[in-house]
Parts: sequence; structure tokens; C-alpha cells
Amino acid sequence: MVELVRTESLRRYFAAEKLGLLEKLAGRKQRYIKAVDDVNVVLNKNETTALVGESGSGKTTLGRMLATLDTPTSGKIFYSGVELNEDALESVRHKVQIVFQNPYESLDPRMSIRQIIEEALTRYGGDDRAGRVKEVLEAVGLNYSDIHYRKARDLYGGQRQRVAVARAMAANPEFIVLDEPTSALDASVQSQVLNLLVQLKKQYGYTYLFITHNMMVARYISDRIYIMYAGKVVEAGLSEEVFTDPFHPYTKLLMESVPSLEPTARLEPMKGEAPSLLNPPPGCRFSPRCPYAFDRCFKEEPRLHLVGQRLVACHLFEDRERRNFRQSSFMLLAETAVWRTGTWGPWPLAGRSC
Amino acid sequence: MTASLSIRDLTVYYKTPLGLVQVLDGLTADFDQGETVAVVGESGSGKSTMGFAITRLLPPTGVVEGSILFEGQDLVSMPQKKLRDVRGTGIFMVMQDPFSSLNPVKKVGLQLLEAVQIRMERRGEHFDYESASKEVLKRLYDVKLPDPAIIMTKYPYQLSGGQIQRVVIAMGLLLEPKIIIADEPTSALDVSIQAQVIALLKELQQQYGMTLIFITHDLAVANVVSDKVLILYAGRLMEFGDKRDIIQKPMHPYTQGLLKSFPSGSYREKELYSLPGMPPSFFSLPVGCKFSDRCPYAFDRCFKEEPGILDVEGRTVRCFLYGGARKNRVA
Repeated sequence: MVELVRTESLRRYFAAEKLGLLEKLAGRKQRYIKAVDDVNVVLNKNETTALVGESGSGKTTLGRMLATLDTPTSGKIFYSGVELNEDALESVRHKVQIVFQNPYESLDPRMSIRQIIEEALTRYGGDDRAGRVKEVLEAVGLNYSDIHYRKARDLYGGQRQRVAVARAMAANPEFIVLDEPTSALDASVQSQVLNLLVQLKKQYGYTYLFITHNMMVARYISDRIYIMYAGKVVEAGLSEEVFTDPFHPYTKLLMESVPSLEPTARLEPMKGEAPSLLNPPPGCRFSPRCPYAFDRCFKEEPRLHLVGQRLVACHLFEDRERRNFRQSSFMLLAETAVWRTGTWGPWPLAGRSC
Repeated sequence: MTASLSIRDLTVYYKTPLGLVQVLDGLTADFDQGETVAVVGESGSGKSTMGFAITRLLPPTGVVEGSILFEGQDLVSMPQKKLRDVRGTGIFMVMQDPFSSLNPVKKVGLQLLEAVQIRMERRGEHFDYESASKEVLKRLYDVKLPDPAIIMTKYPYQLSGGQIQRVVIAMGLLLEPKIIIADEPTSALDVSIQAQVIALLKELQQQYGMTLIFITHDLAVANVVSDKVLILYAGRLMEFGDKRDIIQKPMHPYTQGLLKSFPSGSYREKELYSLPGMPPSFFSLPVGCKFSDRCPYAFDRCFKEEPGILDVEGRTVRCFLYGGARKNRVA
């Protein structure tokens, strides 16, 4: 497994209000919305990483930063080991593409499909642009001669999203950020697009960051998963593991609130609402809604630490980790092995509180 | 149980520059008092049109035929003046976009008090401000809004989507309707808020014995919320029956396809099933069965003739595969 994208304590703050001169002179402090706060992620080459969270959790902001559409307030992004800064931007940008949520808004209604895709090639395309347009349209399962002259408004949701994927593919990227690519689509079309994405990944070796709030879709499409809550990563690991045995209370509750098709399915709603990012609660940001919260959770913010193969930010598991460490030196060896071989990212060992 | 709403041959057209477009075709269904019916369909299947036709809130271009019987009266032929008495206290509709159903320049509390006033006036009771505000507070508490007294003094824009949706549900409760029609009440909300709103609607529906018509595009939501499921495709009722029957043993190929294409497991195990083709457009519907062009079991007859409604094993299906010689085609 080769690492493609890595972030180091990435932050993105938005000014909550614009202060006038008088207010500044009066010493009023600028307040910030902490949309993404100290986030470390690692995306491996040719893997799909799902980023799951509710609205306001910062998942789209993180996706936009990784797609070079937004500049972090602080922190670093490494792309194939190269730090992303103004000098490196040009060389990195054409390897990164994004597919937006709503294909009814992301395609220019006055351009033909051919123009939409050709536009992506104006800077990085080779000599045979027309050929490339044909190639990518056919790769996403659209018939070039039927469709190239049409406008986006003539197409259905599923076809439009295919065009959006084709546009992202045109400049031959390595890494594609998919921001809720199926949530505006109908159920019968969603599965077509998901199958297409899986097939393209196999064929062209793409690396995906799949942003979604739909847990079933995340489970289907991803190899690894990051769960975000209020601007922070609360749990990360291999998708199968996270879905079969979620550690963080938020992940658990999130899964219980997803409706399923089982005959006995019931919903267990979580209490409360997501916190304000202007004044996040002290301590753990999930503590006001957490059924397991104890004193420490309200005072001290938990850090991400390794539990088995999983990263969790929860005080409950720090204790468990400590127990594990005492009980078996094997666990320690296993974890260090994971850490050394780099199969699971360069997590700061200093983050452990043992 | 008596039917609280019976729909007979409901047909809706929209007038467009290209002529009349038929959006609902001969819909017939009975909804019993106190049960929850999920109306499931993709975009453009006519599910919202059905909700608007029942409440008679269609745009002026809409033409309605057939009958909708509510408490012995036909809503389709009812004059607008009388309809006003049915809306709110008889049938209440929760819209998809909660912000559009509240007045943006009136405080939430005032709008809720108005609901109480309307109910009392219609029943010929005396409206008393003190007891009405107590009732509003109680209902806001019922829908699990934090600090009801503060919420009452706020304008709609000061509240979040989930809070507004709950305010609208509280308004529905204050009006004490017989039927609540909820048009995708949760699709603008996050999963955790969605779960809260669904649990709330279910709880209140059981408590007050209302009929709940829940319009959704998500079969999984239909599964957790409903007693009965009605599947719409291209304005036609395709399958209607008990939730358990339909979700566990779907009969119509469209229902089967929808259920099969639901994401489950991981991409490493299997490819997702997907129905071929696109959802239909009302301007170019197939001649025979409207699903025939996407149906894996379609045979000659399906392309020529539209199947009628059939009663099979306690449910309604619109498909030639059932009730005839072709009975064993779908195993």
C-alpha cells in the first residue's frame, strides 16, 4: 500500500462575522467557525476512503481542501510526499479532480456535453482532445455519437452524473474527490453510478475520497472510513471492521439511526443536535449527546489514538488501550508492527496517554 | 376498520405548452384510520402530486378527475370555501421544505397560537390566550424541542431545519387532524435528525390514532415507518399491500429491482444490482406496461397492453406475471 495523500493537523476556520473598524478598536474579538479542526488523514493509492458525517461535520470542507479548491488556515497537505504549497500547486492540481453532489447544478446548462468535457482539457489535455472526450464518455458508459452535441438539460440525473465523472477523468487524474455523488440520484440510478465508480477504479487505478452521509453507501464503496463529528475525526479504520464493530459511541449511534430493510428494523434516535462550531462544547465535542459520558469527557478533549487497527477519539477506549497494554505485550508488538510497516499511517505515538 | 380516506380512479393531468400530461393514472386505494401508509416512488413517479391532489393544493395547471372520499365527502368536487374547513383540522400536510410552510415574518409562537385559534373556532369553542399558550408549550415539549418558551419567541429563520420540521409537526398536533400527509419530511435532514423525526411521528400517530400518509423515495425509511406500502411508478400504482409482504416478498419486478439495488455489503463481495435504463419521462412513456422497457421479465404482451390492477394474496399488483397463465415466471 502506497500513501498518496496525507494531511498534518489540517485546520480550516471561517470568520463568523465581519468586524468593522469601530468594533476592532473597541477590542471585540473575531470569532471563528472551526469547520475542520486538527484533522490527520491518510489516503492510500488505489483505495476508496469514505468520509462520513452529518451536515456541518466538516467533511465537504476537508474534501475541498484536498481537491485544492480551498486553502487551509493551518496545517499541511502532502501529495505523494510533496507538500502542497503555492509552488507545488500547478504540478499537483491536474492530478486531482472533484465530482460535485448535484449534477443539476455542476454542469453548465448552455454548454454541450463535448464542450463541458473539453474544457477540462484546455490546460492539461494532449493533442487529440476530441479523441479523449470520446474515450472518457465511452468509459462511463455513454454513447458518444448520441450525446456529445446535447446540453446537460436534456439528460437525466444518472446520465448527468456520468458526464460529471467523465469530466473529472478527462485530464487523467490520480485522485478524485467524490462529494456525495449519488445523494441527488434516484435509488435505481444510484446503484448504476456506484458500480461504474468501482469499475473505473479497478480499470484506471484511481484513488477516491468518497464523501457521504449514507452509511450503507459508504460501507459498500469504501476500503477505509473516517467518521467526522463537529470538525474532528472521531473514528477511522477499515470499513468492514468499523461497520461490524463500531467503537466510538457516535459511530454506534449513527449506525442505529440508519433505517434498514430488515423485517425487525427499528430506529434508535440519538438525542440532541450537532453542536455549534462557533462555541464547541468543552472537552469531547460529542459529550452532551453521549450516553456513556463521564466527568472527564466534559473537561478534557480526547485525542485520536490507536486501538487495535483502529483510530478512536474517546476516553472510554483510552482506558481499554491501557488495559490492553498491561495485559499483553503482544498487542503492543502488533501495534508497533502496524505502525512501522506503515500500513496504517503515521499516527503520532505521542498522542497516546500511557 | 373503516377507511378514513378512499381514493377512486384518481387521475391528475398537468396542462403544459406541449399539451396535457397525465401524471397520475387511475389510482385507487383505501387508507384505514390509524394506519401508516408509505407512498414510495422515484422522482417523477407522481408521489408528491398525489399528496397535493388529496389536499387540493395542486398548481392552477393541475386537472383532477376521479374521487377522494374523506368522511363521506368528495374532496375533488368540494368548493374551495368548504375545503378550507378540511385543511388543517381534517387533513394536515407536512411539506418537504419546512421553511416554506411557515410565515417568515411571524414568530413561531404566534403561528402556533393561530393554529389553536383556528381549531377552536371551527369547533365553536371559546379561544382563550392563556390556556392556548399552555397547550402550545406542551406540544412543543411533546415534539422534544429544547426550551419551548424560547422557541416560541423566535422567527423561523432562527431555527435549524430539524427544529422547524418539529415546529410544523407540533402545529399539526395542535390542529388535531384525522390525517397527516408528510411529503418527504426527512429528506432534507441528517440521519440522526431523521431518526428523531420518524420516531416522533410514529409515537404521536399511535398516541392520537391519526392516519399517516408518508411520502418517501427511500424503501428503508418506508420499512421502519409504515404498516402498508404503496409503490408508484410513472404515475401508476404498481404494488400496494402490507409492509412485511412487500419488503420481504416483493411481487412486482420494479419493487424487486428497487429492493435489490439497495446497497449492502461491500464492493469486494459483489456488484450491486441495478435496473437498466432511466426513470421514465411523462412525455415519452412506453406504450404497454410503463415499466416494460426496464423490466427483466417483460414479454410480448407487456409491450402492447397495459396491465390492470390485480388482487393477489391480499395485495394489489399491476403486472401480467400474476393471476394468469404466466403465474410461475417469477420464482
